Amino acid sequence: MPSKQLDPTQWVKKYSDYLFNYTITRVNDREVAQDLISETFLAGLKSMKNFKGEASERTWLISILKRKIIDHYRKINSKKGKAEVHINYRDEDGEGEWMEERMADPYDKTAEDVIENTELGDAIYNCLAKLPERQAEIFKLKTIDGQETETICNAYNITASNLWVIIHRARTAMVECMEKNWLQ
Amino acid sequence: MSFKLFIDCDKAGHFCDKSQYKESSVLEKLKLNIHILFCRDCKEHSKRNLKLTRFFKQANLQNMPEDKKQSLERLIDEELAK
Repeated sequence: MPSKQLDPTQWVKKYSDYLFNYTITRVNDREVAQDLISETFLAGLKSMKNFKGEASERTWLISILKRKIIDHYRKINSKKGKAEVHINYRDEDGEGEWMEERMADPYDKTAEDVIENTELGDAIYNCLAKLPERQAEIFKLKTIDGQETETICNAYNITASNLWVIIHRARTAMVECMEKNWLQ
Repeated sequence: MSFKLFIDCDKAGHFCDKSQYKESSVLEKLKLNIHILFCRDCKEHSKRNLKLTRFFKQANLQNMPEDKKQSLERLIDEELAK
């Protein structure tokens, strides 16, 4: 089996949208997401020699990103700990049962749990990753960015009917893929 | 332009795709709807196609802004040049 190779020059083109969306559904902040992805790429570049070629490039980058997201939540969590305020008893009898202890701590779970939870957006991006590269690019511009048909045609030097053929193929493949991977 | 209310499945599929992006004309929508009345396959296809559109809407995906991509590209190039 040929081992998989890393090609950092293609990372942004191939994975930035996927990673951005992955991060933003988990940290909910565009700036933070951007920083985490920069850090991920940098960490990736530094540890390229550790890449064994067993996983795909994308899986490998995601595994780095996951750790960055967890670190991000740990940081927030430690800041949050310093500002901890005990508010009130939950009820009269429950002495010592601080309200805080009773409440689910959103951060406590977020990091690992949310990451393992498959989001609709991830399912979509997983399917997008299976499309031919050019088809995926054009489909994303049209469907996610909502660009005008004409703009895309000019950028790719194709006719409108070419574009619709590409869109049709992409949509058909996406429908099939989503039916397999997203039950609803 | 000939006025044909009855279209074939290829056309119907095309109009259906266009309408997912709100780019089909009223006439095209009408033709599609008439076609769907008689064609079970296209009816099914339209339904699935619409579902895909809903998925995208629901997921509210966001591509990374172009300028951010460019700065990331530069960052990687610089690192590789070191």
